[in-house]
Amino acid sequence: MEFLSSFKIDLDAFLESLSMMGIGMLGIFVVIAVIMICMYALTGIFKDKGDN
Amino acid sequence: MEQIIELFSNVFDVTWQQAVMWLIGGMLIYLGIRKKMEPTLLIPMGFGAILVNLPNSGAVTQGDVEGPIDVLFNAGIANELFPLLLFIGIGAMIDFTPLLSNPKLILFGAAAQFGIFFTLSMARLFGFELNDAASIAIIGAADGPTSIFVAQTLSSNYIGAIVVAAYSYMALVPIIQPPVIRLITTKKERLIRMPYSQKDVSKTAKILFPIIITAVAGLVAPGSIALVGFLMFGNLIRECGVLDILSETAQNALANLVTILLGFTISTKMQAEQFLAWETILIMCLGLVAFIFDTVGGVLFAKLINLFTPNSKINPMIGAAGISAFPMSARVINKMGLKEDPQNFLLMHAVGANVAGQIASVIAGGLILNMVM
Repeated sequence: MEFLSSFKIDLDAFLESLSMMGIGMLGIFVVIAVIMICMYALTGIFKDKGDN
Repeated sequence: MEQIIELFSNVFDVTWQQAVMWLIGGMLIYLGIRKKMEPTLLIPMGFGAILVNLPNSGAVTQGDVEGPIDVLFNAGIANELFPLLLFIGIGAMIDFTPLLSNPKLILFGAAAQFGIFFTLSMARLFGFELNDAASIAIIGAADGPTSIFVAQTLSSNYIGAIVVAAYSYMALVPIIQPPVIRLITTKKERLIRMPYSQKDVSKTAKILFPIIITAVAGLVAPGSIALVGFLMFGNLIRECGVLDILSETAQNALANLVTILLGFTISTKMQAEQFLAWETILIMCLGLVAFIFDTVGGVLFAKLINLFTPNSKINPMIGAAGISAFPMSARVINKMGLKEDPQNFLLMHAVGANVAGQIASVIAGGLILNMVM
């Protein structure tokens, strides 16, 4: 019973956080996309022999 | 007789909660030694949990007397120093060549951070304050130092439970991911072959990569500069070719030393009165949710990409490798691929996605800090 009483479902906070979910995912994809473009640029411009 | 009883009076100060923590500490040690689950962290944490839960333990602060574990905590975790130093070592261990050979794999790293943001919402649903919800959500980064860094920066009340959850689930990736992947993919999708051809990556590109990533990530998400910067510094000393001794030191001596201190010191947050709460069970459940939805996010993103590229399909299991649990997740995906088709070698693609997860998880940590602070 103590377990149940220490629970509080906060629907308002949940709904508010959904926008954070959207913004967060959008933000990470934007940053990652920029990094991906940088990687393509780096590997496209520099073609000296690697140590692979 | 009375003097003898007084001499050993501490024995009678044991509480049942402390005894439970001894069992938890023992279980962490067992998991580390017998099951080989993240032994570098679980064993020090387990032993520390026993140490700090002995009655009137001199290892932690008692009244005005500061305990040595609290001294170490203030020296290295309260100021987020230990996780950052560990990141130098981790950066020195990472080879970004598989990712630089196929840059689009980094998108799976982004997709596989979905569990973080989903769990943030779920934690808010269950009534956690925003800073605690964000700290719990970062368990989904599948990265111990990031979890500690974010939880400490946000002054979370649950850092002990968060760290135990993060490291335990990282070790349980081979158990968590396969059933989730099988549930959301078809056999036909799991059989998709992805041939790999080794592409040379220029040494100059490998040197410039960590510098540019730090600048880009730092400009967009300044909260991530410390995390990304220390990780990429470690990578730079590896790739520059003129600091082999420092690279070796970072990968071995530095990483091992900080790991010992980190695991042992975090146990100060595993004192019974802080750790034994219903919230701890909820945090363990939410941590599992984070890992599951990381996997779901990565796989579903790969399936989405396949809708637009019918002629060069991606095996959706690669998406699941985008979590930061390196190299565990890559090995799991490779093993699952070989089980479906012994001729389908997914390892290098999975490693590329897995390494991408390392970058994406620290950026996610930085974004979380930006959004919450």
